[in-house]
Amino acid sequence: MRVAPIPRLIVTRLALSVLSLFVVSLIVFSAVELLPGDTAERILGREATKESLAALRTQLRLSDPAPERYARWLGGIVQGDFGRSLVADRPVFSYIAGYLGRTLLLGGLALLIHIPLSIGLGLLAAARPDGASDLALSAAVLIGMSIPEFVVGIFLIMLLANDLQLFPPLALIDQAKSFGDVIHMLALPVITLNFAMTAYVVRQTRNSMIEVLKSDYVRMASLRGLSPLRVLFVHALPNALSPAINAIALNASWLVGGIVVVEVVFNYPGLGRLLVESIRFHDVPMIQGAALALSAAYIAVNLVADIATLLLNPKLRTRTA
Amino acid sequence: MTAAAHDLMTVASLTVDYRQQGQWHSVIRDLSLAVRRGEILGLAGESGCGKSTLASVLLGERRGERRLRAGSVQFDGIDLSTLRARELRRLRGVRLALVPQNGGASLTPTLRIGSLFAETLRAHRPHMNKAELAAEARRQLSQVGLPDPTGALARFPHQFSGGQQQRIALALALCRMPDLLILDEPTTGQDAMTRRGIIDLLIRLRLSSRMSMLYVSHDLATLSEICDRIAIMHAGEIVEIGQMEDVLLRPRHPYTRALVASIPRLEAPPDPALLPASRRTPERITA
Repeated sequence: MRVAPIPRLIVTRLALSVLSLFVVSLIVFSAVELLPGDTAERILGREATKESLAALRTQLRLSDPAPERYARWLGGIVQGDFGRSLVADRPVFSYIAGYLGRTLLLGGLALLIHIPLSIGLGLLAAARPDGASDLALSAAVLIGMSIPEFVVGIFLIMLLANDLQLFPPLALIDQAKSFGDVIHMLALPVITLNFAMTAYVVRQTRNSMIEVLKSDYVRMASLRGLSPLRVLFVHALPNALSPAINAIALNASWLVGGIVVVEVVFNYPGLGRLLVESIRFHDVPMIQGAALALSAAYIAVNLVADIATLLLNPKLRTRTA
Repeated sequence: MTAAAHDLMTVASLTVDYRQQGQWHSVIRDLSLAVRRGEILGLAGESGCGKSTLASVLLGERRGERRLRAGSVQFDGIDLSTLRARELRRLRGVRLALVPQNGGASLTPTLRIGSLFAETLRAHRPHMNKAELAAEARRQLSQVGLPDPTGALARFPHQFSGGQQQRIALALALCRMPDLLILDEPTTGQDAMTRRGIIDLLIRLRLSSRMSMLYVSHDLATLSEICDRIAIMHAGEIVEIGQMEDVLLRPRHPYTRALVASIPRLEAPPDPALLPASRRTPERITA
């Protein structure tokens, strides 16, 4: 079996990502097309007059056939032109860039806490399988996972923001004056997201670590007189990480969707809230742009996870002799 | 010479229990055994007789589901069960090494062969620099007959065949020239060429060094090629121990007799009654 070396694999995955994005753009466009009525009716609502409808249809060139409008929309996107927001009458792109940046900030911070926290807890649980700490951890993370994130979010607001006044209830990041402010405001949404994500990774890390600790190579490493720390971190951990990374990748993908709810709960000006508000205001170009940006984020997260898995596994990263 | 000076590893009245479903069961019973300095001692017995457990206890391994109920294990006068983890670590790899049955599985998949050697050498000799480490690893790899030792250092375990992985595992065990090398079925499941290569290397080593070896196997034919003495283990006990030839030619215990009778021959012997008288030969035993 010949396995491609890493650069070629990355190029292949990148090409596949572009293809996926193309398919996503088709779906996003068709989804909006398939809704009852045409775009002008959806934007203006029931009270619209015939004249205003006709004017809007001309403005949006809705009389053109759908494939032509799709091609025009896609052509614009390729050049960085996502159209103009109907509500704000500003280019969609400038909006999305800002909102996407803030979503990535929140998601990135959540992952930054999530990865060491859940792997660390997994290792702790694996140290004494079925011991008291293992059982307590399993129970705690499962409870965290089974409560929906908006309930966790609202509970945290009640407890930590209203009662204890440790954190602000809303993550109005536009008003942050320093980096410390940003961290302070993002604490509750980050904790909320981690509640939902931790259980699976802890479980995966725990199980694969328990397996790896029983392996011949870990036994031999310690029989060669290596220090316990070296055996744990050089021989055991890297080989136990693959399932954990897959689970983290699934979480990161979930995060792209889960963050929408959390952004709304904490009134955080991210892409998720932008999407929800654009739907409320029937801002079709903005909906399309935001949906496409979220999909792109989703695809990028999976690409990064794939590459990380490849880098960790020499069997995938080198050719077999 | 006194017995202590004569023997490198001494096992006295050892009883080892395993816990299974809350109950302790003995897998080794009142076992006494000594590995003499410079000898190759064979330890034969069917699977499940406690050979691997004994090897593990001799390496000072401790497990939660196992206990040493009675007896002692002494390595060069040191009682292994009283050693602290740090002291035990100083013996391992340097004075006491294991060649496992499945060499491939014993090599960490995420590390290159060069790193495995470097960390093993460095664990006990921290001052060695990169060039010295690489040179030493190359020397060890060529000693076990691995082709292209220089290229091998940069490769990962999965890039070698099963036979090559076994040679690498052997080279890793030998790289500090231990006083006692424990071999746990090192040729089982290997192809004939690898098996031959490993046996020849062990014979050479024995001639060139004073290394003691405990060769654990269920394969009497292999043991008969290299061992000075052999111990026959059955159901957690040593039922017979003696010079290789004595045990093979004049087995006393019924279990030893059955084991000797089951040594595989190169071809199935034809029924002597059907052969012409000139080809009728007495039963042969490779010794």
